[in-house]
Amino acid sequence: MTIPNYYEFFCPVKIVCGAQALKNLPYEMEQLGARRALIVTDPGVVAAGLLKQVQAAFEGSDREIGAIFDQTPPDSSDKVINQVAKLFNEKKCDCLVAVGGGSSIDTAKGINIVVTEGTDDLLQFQGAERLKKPMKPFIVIPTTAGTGSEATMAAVITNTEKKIKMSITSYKLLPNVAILDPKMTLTMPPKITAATGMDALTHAVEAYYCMQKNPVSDSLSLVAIKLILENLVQVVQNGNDEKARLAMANAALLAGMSFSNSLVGVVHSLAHATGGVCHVPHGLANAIFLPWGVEYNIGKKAAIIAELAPLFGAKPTGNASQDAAAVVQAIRDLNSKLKSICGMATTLKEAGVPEDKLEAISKVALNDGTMAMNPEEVNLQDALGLLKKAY
Amino acid sequence: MTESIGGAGLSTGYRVKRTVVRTSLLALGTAFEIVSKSCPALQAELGAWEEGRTVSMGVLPEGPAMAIRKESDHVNYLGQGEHSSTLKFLFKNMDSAFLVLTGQIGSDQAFAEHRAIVHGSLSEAMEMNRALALVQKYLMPGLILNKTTKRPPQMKGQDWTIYTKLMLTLTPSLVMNWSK
Repeated sequence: MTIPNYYEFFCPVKIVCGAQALKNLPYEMEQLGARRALIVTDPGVVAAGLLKQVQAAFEGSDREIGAIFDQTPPDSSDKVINQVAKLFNEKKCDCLVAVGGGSSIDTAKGINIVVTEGTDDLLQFQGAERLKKPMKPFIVIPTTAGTGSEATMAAVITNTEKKIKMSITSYKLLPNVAILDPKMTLTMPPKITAATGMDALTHAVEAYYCMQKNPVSDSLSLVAIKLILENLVQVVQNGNDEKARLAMANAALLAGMSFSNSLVGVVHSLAHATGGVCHVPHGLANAIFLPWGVEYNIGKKAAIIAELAPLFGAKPTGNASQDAAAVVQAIRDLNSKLKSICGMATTLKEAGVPEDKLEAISKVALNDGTMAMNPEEVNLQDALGLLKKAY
Repeated sequence: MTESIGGAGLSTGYRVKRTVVRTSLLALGTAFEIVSKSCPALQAELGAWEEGRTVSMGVLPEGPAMAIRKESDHVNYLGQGEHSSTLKFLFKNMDSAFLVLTGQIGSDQAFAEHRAIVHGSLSEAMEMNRALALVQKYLMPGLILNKTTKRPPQMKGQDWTIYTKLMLTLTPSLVMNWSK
């Protein structure tokens, strides 16, 4: 294990985790000096009855819900964010509570920028560390176990006019509190559970070998990988297993903390591009690309990837390349197992990607910021080659 | 109690580094313009840039900076300063800029180590990064590129013509651009 010449790590998110954790929401608001929450969620969360549980948590408290926005689209956009930011101000809310997956959380992050900075132009905050003002109190209650957005400093928001995805990263975007309650992920269907779990695994694995890796992110990645490998299959087979659900929620959080600081590489570049061009869900795309991405980096990072072999159940041979290849095989085996249990796609073809879109995907992938953090160089031909393999 | 040296009372070491960084930025901007006028690979990369895109590279908070602008099929070096750029590559301090511009670490590593940040579109930053790599291929010695790039570039065929042209014109161009 090596210590980098230099690294930075930042994660001030308070973690409130376990049975009945949701009931602490009003108390956490009080601790943050907030009284009226704007809840940001999506129709799926409402349909699953999860919003009612959040509302019930306010019973008997002196905190209140100022407004609820329950129409978050799958891809958060500046248009929606500006609309909800108006609602935040009209209803005199003073804090944000995101209930959902990555989109609801990113939408809430965007709203927080708009209401804090007093602007409707998110474009000016593209890039890194451009937010200077203290943000509004922000609490996240994840309903999936995958994105890790409850512990990340990034938001990806569509600019509807320019038709581009804006990437905004800032330490100020990190939530103040993440509430992990096993009841909040119980209703996830098996296929989504599998894909989001593989999303978390991708975060943990890529963070472990990509360019910003450091001892803190490494330790988080290792525990996240262990939790995922011990619980993902179980939770896909039996979604009502609260202990396994909680373990997966923790794994996603730890992987989120890890990759928010060490970043990710080509697996994510390809997954972001495939999502952008063909609307393949992010977790599923990550699951498909993960074995190919890890394999692609063996030439540069065999020894580091090999360190993961025992976690993946492979007996170390002492040959780094062989052990790293065993990790790749174990990921393929896991994907196959998930496919047999719940029908999760394991190729781009199965995910419905038309073959004639691969070239377009490769071009978009090349411009994804995560590409810069991949240990091995990736040019257009390399990206297309990986896409063809994953097809 | 001693006073912070902040802006005033700069050490000789700092002044030397600032001079090196300023000169390196001038050389980079000037080389960018020269190579963009003769390198088909760079011109193909610049094809994706909208007309007038202005990119700057500089040192925070108010250190040396330079800017380039896409005009027709190449870029022009605009001179020192940010020139209302919409995409900015920013080094957090003089030492970080010095490490990168003297070829001690690569730009990807600089971003990985938070020594540099981007203000603006990350997608455009990736395009700029690839364009910069093409310029550095001709500007930086192979020994340095072997250390600072993930896959060191190979010189072949027409590359030597572009390299010779750059070497012949860089010094007079630097003199002309010195006061820009």
